[in-house]
Amino acid sequence: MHGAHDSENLELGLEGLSKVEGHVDLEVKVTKGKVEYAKLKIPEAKRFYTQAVRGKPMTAIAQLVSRICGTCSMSHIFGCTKSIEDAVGLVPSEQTMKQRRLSMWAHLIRDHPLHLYFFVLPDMFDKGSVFDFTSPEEKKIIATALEIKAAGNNLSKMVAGRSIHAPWPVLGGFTQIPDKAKYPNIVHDLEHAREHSLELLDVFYDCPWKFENKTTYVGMVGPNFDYMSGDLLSSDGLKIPEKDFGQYAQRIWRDYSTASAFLLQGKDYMVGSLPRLNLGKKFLHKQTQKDCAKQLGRFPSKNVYDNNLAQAIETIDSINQSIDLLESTDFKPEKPVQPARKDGAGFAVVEAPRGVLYYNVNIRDGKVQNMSVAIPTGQNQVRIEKDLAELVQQQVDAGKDKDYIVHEMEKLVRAYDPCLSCATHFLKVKWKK
Amino acid sequence: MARKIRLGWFSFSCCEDNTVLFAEILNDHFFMVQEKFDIIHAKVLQNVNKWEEMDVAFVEGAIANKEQEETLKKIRGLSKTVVAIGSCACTGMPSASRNNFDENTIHEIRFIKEKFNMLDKVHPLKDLVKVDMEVPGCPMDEAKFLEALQAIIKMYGDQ
Repeated sequence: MHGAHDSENLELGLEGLSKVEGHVDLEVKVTKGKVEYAKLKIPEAKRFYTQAVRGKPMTAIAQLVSRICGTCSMSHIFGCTKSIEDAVGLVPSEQTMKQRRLSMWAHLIRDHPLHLYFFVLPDMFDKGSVFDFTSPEEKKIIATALEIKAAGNNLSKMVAGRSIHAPWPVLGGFTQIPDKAKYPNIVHDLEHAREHSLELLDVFYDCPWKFENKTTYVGMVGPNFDYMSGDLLSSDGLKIPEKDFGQYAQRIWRDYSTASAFLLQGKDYMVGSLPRLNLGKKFLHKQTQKDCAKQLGRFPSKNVYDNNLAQAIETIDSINQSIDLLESTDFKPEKPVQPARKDGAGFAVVEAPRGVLYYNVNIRDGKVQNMSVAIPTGQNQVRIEKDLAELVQQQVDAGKDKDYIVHEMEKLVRAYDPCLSCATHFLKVKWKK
Repeated sequence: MARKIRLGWFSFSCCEDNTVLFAEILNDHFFMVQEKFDIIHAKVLQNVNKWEEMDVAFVEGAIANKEQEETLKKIRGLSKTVVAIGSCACTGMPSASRNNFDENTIHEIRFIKEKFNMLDKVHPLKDLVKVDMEVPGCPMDEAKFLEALQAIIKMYGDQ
């Protein structure tokens, strides 16, 4: 083991952080016991979707931007669709909004557990991977986690046609409605998933990891807790109109990263589950408020690792909301609403599982002129780097060795549930050489 | 007991939908995969990843820069069977959208291409290495992937 003396001068490089979606490298430099910088380097090759959509019919691009990210595809479909509908004056039916809500909840029910049980749980059990859970008790935990994930995946299939790159959502509606004959099985599985999620909730509540930061929490919250509507709030007391988000959030460029980072009015901020519960826990389903009363007492929280607990609670909430809606709704065949016009500028915010996703689109004669997007991991980047610098400073001061510090860095970045597939595609392309 | 099949899982330029779909496929097949496979390399799933010989490498994504090209060749050299999964690995698209950009757009993205050493064109895997099996689809076709997995178990599971 190395002592404090060895960490006086350190260059920590971690190429390819494991158990995150996409590729990211970490780099930290310590000189004479002081952290000089921490960098979150996103080296993936851009795919230029914001260029690729230009000139394409507005009805076609939701399926294209879905391919920005296999993890967050549902959020991209609805973020993009919402912005185009804003641009061309299209108001979807109440039934469409219900089907979209179900799609987003289904998305949450499969995506949060993937992060919690495949990426976070191995760290909590001091294992390298989910495949290292081999004793009967450990296998039981994994079986439970898989059942929760499956309930979300199957709900996605029923309400959107598929969980990844869902084929049914279109501009103004859906091409198909959920098959009522499937409700009983889906609801049965969701009820089991709720039970299992409640059983596993205290794994995250009792987790002793702690890293408190001082930042601004930003999220869109409101009645229904549907990740698509409500007010975009900040813990500084701001209420940001969706169309003005682009003016509040500044895109900044890091020369070591192919993704854009963002500041909100010049300051770092955090988006994701923790901000949503910090700002809007009162909007959760009554059943969630009842069943998770103890755990919800933790919020508002400044502990980054409570993002994991927040995700576990949101999973339960999405299950409660879905069961409620399915039991009270008869979907009837209806045609997608047609746009009122073919020109306009549109703005939309939705909540991806990992935070605020912003779309701005300009439509001319029914075609996309240009589009810009702010993705959650880009918005968290500046805060993650500051957290890393502070974390490493604490650990160096405490005399921890290099391997320990690197592991702590990984854990901290994972708590933000970064999604690098999304992050690599929205670098502002015009800058001075 | 039959020896475990040595598996690698790799992602290049894409949206990683095949990885996400694999995570969903595990809902029903986790314990089979755990029993039959030794995961040599899969950054998305584990923190100890080795560059060693593999029976099978599943590769998603298209090849967009020199570093990816070299890594792909390294994977090919270490793997008995390379399976291209998903549309980007099999055809390049939609990650290869920039191959079809007009001149103005190519000019617009030129700085980024140069700064990050991107290849002139984005390539499907088979442009650069021998690919033994393909599972097309965007995301990959779930049934065809399971067929490929069964074929791999037949090929290497009883050795």
